[in-house]
Amino acid sequence: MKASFPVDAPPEAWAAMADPNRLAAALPGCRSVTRGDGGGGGAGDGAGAGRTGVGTMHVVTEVAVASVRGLWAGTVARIDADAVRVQGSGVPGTVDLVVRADPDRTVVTVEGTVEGPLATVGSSVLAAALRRTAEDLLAAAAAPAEPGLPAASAAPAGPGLPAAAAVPAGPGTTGNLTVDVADTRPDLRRRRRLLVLAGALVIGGAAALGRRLVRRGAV
Amino acid sequence: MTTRWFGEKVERREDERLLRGAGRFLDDAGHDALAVAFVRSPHAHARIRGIDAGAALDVEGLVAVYTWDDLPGRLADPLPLLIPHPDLTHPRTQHALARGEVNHVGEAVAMVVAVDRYVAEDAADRVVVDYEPLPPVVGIDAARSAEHLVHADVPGNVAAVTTQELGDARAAIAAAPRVLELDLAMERSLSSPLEGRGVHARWDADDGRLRVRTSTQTSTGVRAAVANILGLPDVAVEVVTPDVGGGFGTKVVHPYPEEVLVPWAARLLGREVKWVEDRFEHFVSATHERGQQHHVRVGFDDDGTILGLQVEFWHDTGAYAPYGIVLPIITATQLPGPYRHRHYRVTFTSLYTNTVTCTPYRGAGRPQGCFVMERTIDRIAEHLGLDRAEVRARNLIGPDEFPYDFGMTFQDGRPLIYDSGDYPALLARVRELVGWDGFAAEREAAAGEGRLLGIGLACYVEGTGVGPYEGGHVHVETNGRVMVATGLTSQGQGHETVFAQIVADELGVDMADVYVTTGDTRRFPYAVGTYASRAAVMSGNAVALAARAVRAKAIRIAADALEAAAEDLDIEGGVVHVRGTPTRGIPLSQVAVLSNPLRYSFSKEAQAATQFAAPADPDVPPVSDGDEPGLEAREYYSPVRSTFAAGMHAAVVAVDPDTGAVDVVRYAVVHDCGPLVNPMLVEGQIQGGVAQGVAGALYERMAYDDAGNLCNASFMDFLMPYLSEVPTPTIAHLETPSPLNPLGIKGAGEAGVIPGSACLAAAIEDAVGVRIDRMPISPPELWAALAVRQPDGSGAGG
Repeated sequence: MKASFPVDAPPEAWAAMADPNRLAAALPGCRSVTRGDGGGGGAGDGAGAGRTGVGTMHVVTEVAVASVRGLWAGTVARIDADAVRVQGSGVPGTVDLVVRADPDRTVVTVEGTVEGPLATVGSSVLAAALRRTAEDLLAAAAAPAEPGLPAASAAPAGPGLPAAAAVPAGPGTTGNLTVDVADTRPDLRRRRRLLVLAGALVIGGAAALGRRLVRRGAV
Repeated sequence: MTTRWFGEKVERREDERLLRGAGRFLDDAGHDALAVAFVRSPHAHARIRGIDAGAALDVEGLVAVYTWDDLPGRLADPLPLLIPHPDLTHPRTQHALARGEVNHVGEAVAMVVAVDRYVAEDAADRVVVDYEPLPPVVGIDAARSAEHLVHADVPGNVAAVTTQELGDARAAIAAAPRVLELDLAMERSLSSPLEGRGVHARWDADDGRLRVRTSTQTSTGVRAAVANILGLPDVAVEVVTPDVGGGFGTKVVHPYPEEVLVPWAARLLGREVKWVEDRFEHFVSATHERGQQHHVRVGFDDDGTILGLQVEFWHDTGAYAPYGIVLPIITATQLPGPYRHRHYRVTFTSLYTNTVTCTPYRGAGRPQGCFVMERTIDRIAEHLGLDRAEVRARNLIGPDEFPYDFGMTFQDGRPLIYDSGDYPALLARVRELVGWDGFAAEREAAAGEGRLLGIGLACYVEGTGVGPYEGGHVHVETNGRVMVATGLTSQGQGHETVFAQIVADELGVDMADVYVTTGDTRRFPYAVGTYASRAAVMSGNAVALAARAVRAKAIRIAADALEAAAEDLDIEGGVVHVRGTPTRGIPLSQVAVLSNPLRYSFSKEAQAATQFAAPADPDVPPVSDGDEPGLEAREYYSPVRSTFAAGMHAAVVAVDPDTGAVDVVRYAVVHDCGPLVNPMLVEGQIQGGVAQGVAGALYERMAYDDAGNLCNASFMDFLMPYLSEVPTPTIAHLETPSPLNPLGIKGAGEAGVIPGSACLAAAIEDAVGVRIDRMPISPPELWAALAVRQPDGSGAGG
């Protein structure tokens, strides 16, 4: 599949993508975000697909596109300054996508393969879902953190979330960071009903891109 | 035989089911299937710049939205060109979903699948298509002018140009003492069956089989297309035609986009998927027909004998040409009618327009051809001051002139040769039925009452029963049931009844024991379809041949069992017996048992076929060489060429000069389709045909505006006549057998509609004295023509 669409978000929104707390808060349906790069520099650039390495994040989220719904777990790995590779699988299907932003961060292009139920919804639906997810995510990330939302917890991932069973770690520590999002937050339930998401597909990409921006000193 | 079913007015077996509401139509299947709605083009001609399904995401219950970009493999190719022809130099067919460009209002752009039709419609409403409108080409004039093109790579909008000629028409006309030129036109219409199209598909992952139900006129055609386009083995695709609520031609098109998209989606999603056409969709996406303009030059002598006929015409094929040039070929080759022509030249141009694609609608090019020929003869009669029936009589092919070879090629690629008929007898009979000879007095009497009466007459010959073939399978079960299958579909004509009549007679069984299945590829995988008035001729003869083969086998087995000579045996009432000795016999059910040597019995009767039941020749195998177990046979009927039915219609109309309203006072039909299998069904076909003929003459048309919008795309606006507007015709039959098939029968399905416009135009013209040279005609049009009528009543031109 291939989809390309404009996005309009302030640099801080992109930057927020690098913060697992804010990412997890901004992403409807998100169960956990785990940073797997050890907080280091770019040594992991070009790491092999599917391997956890520098610049890689694990995301577990509920994905709902049209009638395709279910948990999805995957990795997001930066492959160059403007692009990440999103890979993973779950009930909704298997995804291997490259998410690329133009240098001005005004256009995002998603290209790759989608298999399983997600591949049956039609490319126009998938493209629309990706675009909407990106817009919602960046909009939410640009907004100040909502009061009342639980802060990122260091708790291990809940049962049934195998890919997120990451090393417990607290914010600010080196090593992996896991952000779990309780499934009971009313606003998330509401949003899940209202929103049809492409879940981790774009988010992961946006997250890594955001971090790249941070690294480049854009914010 | 004690009872003969052939020729009897046997009641339709289908009706018990249909009238109780127990029919199984397409929409009766797949109650829990996912539903489909289509996003269709609102533009007659436009480029598609983008499709945004974003807003559809908010509709709870959406399953998928598909566009051309999603279609894999051959599904992304243009749909098949069904009937190629060497003269079709620029064939264009549509994609299952529009690829970058739409060419008529209603063309499918995106397919929406959802949990039910309501949701699907809601979601479809929210799919935003970004169109860049292009100049539309609407109507034959615009297509001929070619100021704009429908397809950028089709110069002049010309799909095909074809000429056929018998003798030298131009020279004959040049040498003729009298010459007339006429311009004649007929508008578009559509089949409008009460049941629209519909497709239901289920992918059985366990069996690896796709079952498709579709309201089609050709289940085997759909199966071949679906298997090919989806890359499945033929045997993995089962196509079943359920009860069909009318087709009238439009359902012979296959595959319609929906017929490949729905099965594809069912397999992709692993769910049952169904689409049922709504009435608006039928108007803008099921095929139309009939739009043609004609220019005629005719040379004749002083007594009205036609010496040369030259016709050029322009056919509106719509946005695409999946059916090739079959329609204009039919017009070209059926236009000569029952008349003797020595010199006839016809040229047609098939033109693309930005309107719905045209394919056969009951009559299929013949109503136009009949209109042209009959209006021409009326004009000759007027010119010479002769009686219109008399001029016809002078030109009719005589009963001793068959086979009559036109030296032309018919729509099936075979020679245009009339096989049999008696046209003078038809003319004499229709004159009598309608009261032709006493009409002058009737008209005068009506005029005294202020009523404008007119009488008209139109004759036609219809090539029916076109090949290539149909097959039949007859199987006598051990319970005595006779199971009959033919691959050809029914669209409601009563095939279950007439094929049972034929088999009952051929086999010597009670009709009640005969069960007929049509249009189910699981039961009969080889077939062509229901079109061109061919079902009775093709499948009727095929099941007759299969029944004869079963009969021969039954007699052979029974002769052995009864220790009698085969030639002494007959079958009556389902019992094979020795002629003259009814008590010495064996029921067919028992013959069926004996036909299948058993190791394991399954009933008391079946014990007779087991291995220790009776002494047998130790040197002969239980199933002999060349024999097969089972009392069944499969046979095919494949004719060398079509058989030609004929008929004549005559009508008396009353025209209200104040309103232009036309009242059909009398309508007479004389019809010859050879021996009648079931006169009641034939008359039903004729009555229905007359209804559609009257509809096409006085009411139904496709009101396209200049932008290509179909402005009457509903039953609120499209004037399908009620029973109150349709005359009940007086019908008489001639039965001239065809020498071409075992039953001697000819087709009857389309006949009733063919001469409607020609006949009513003649009657209206006769009533009001204004030239009627295009049909249909509405009261306002007729009123306007009356308002400008010249004082001498001759109208314009000459």
